[in-house]
Amino acid sequence: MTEPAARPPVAEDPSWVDLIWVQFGKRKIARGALFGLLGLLLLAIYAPLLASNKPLLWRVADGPLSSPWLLSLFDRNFFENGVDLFFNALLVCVSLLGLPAAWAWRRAATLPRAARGARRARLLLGGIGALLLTLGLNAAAPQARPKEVYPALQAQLEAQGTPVLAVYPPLPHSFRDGVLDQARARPSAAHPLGTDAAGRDVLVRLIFGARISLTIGVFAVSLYISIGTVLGALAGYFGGRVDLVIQRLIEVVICVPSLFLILSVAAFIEDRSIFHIMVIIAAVAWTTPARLVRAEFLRHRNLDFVAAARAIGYPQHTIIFAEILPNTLGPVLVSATFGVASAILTESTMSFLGLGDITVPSWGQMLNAGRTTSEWTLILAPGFAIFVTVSLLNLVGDGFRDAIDPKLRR
Amino acid sequence: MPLLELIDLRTHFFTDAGVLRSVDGVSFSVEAGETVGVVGESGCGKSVTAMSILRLIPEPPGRIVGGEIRFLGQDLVRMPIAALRKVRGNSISMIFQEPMTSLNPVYTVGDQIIEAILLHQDVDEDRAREIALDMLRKVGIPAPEQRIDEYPHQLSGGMKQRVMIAMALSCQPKLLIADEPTTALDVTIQAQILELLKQLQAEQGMGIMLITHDLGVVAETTDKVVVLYGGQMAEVAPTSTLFSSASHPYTQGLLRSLPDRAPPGSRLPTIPGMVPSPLQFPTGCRFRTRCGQASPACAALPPRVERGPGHAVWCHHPQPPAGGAA
Repeated sequence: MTEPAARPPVAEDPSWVDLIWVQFGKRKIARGALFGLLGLLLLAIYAPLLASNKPLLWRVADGPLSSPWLLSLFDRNFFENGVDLFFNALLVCVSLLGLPAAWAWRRAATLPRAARGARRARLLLGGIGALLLTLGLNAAAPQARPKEVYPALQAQLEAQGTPVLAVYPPLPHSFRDGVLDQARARPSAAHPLGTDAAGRDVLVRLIFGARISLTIGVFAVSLYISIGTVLGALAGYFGGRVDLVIQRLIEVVICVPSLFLILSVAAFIEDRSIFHIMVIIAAVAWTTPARLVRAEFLRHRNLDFVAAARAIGYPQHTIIFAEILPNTLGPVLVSATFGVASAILTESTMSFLGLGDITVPSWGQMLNAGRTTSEWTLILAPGFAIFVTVSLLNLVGDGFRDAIDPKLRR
Repeated sequence: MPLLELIDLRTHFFTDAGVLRSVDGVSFSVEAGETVGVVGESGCGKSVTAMSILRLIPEPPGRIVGGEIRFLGQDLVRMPIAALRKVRGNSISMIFQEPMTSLNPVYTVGDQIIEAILLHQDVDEDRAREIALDMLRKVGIPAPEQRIDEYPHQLSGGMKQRVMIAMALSCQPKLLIADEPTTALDVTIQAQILELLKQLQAEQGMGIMLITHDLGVVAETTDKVVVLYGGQMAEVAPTSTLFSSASHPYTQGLLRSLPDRAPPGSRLPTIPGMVPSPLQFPTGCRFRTRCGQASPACAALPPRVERGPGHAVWCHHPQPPAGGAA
């Protein structure tokens, strides 16, 4: 029983997550796609910095220097949609805390494993807390800013001979308010992809559409993964009558063609917001994770560690959700990646068929609008955006699926 | 009052094919500080007996249909599940056969031991970690400060079994149920683990119920032996008595089939036939279809026959001591 004491401290074996990460990194295409997705996310977060008709800096004659752009980020009259307000809060938090947080995250790598996990969990919680705080402050702040149309105001002031300092983002157009006399403009330097029938810049709406698509994808998938995981876990763990009921429920849902179900449910909701759409998508898609998790539970529930957990005296919910569930999540997360892609496609389909949320610049909405015009950019641009996003997500999903498969280890 | 007393325990499984009477009238007791070996062939009900004690039988299909399990005077069979959870892992701990699968692969071994301690003891996390480190040191894990933050897949089978033992003993249980703790390990590690259990028993004074099919292990480590056949009692005796004067034909057959008891060069004697399927157990004495001494009387349930102090046999035709054994 005498073994050489203390191994060298550097020889820490990689954890399962580290292994997956290394394996994923060896797949060049998947890694590239992940960077692409990261780029898309940054594009969505920093969309107002690229495109806004509010000047970043504004000064009339010798008046005070102000930033209407910064104020507009929290203007609930301008950004009417919850999605945009959320991303704007994200923009503020990422800009202020992003770099220090990334630095702290990397630095945590030098800590021993237990402390590292705790440190990173605290960082994550802190980030979420900061985001919620920003959103809360925004909700509490008074909203009484006049809606100025700055480019028009600037032209008017300059015509009067008043010098104006105005710095606009690269695309000085609103994603929401069109300029009617510029409707259906051909692509030009001012409007790289032209404008739509309401005179709104297509490229700007495309950029803001990334926010809608990513939100739909991530939220709808989180929602249905949660539902599916809980139901699948209960079915797999308890078996018997619980399993019977949940299985029949799954069968009822999957035997109706999902697109028809989605469309008919959507048709009954007046004033559909994108939150309705997420819920509808989740309501038909939860069966996939439910079946995956059920199968994984059937595989794990008879293993000794589950009996050991019961023998230690853990209550049933701890055994289901803290002991078995983490073991079943690998395949679920892979299917979630594909799920995000398919949720984006579903939303586009709904919007294209006119059953989406007409108040948001979604890509499917733009496709539908473009269909009625003869302008090819109006169809090709959103189509290309959908294609790229869905492809990136599928490539990343493929990469993760291969990375967690020990038979494909490189 | 014995630490643990099983009185006529019956655990049956209700399947589509019929009722499996896996445990059908098992009675024995374990005293504090005593090691009781439970032996028998595969399928004789050893593990089901062990699982029944903490009510870990999957229900359905299984159910304890009769008998009592008295632990410090309380009947575990009729105890509410919430109260039973306070017994599990606290005053009765269990070690399983497969160290490879008895630890949760997604948590570090430290987390698993610490969680178990926090569940049953009123201590904070730092103190729990100290106790966990202490236990790992006690079970002979080298560099415990480092091992405590490792995942189960980074440990060898023997190490994992040591971790299991550390976890099982971290709350100072009064009774340890070890279900074939060394079967999956190689021989040198087996010896170390058994030695470790003995040593920890001496320190903590707990009772051990050791389930095994290895008579060598029984001879070396137990004070008392319970022989099960087909879910029923065959014989119970102090270990030395059992090896010198077994009286049940089945026990005698088991002992005869030990390699070191057969003359060199001869064929090893075996017990003829197979353990019948639990669906087709014969009435009366379940061993009678394979027994050389069977008579028509054996169709009735065998009586309990006292053979000496602490030595009883359930048989219509108890054999004289050393019947055929060397």
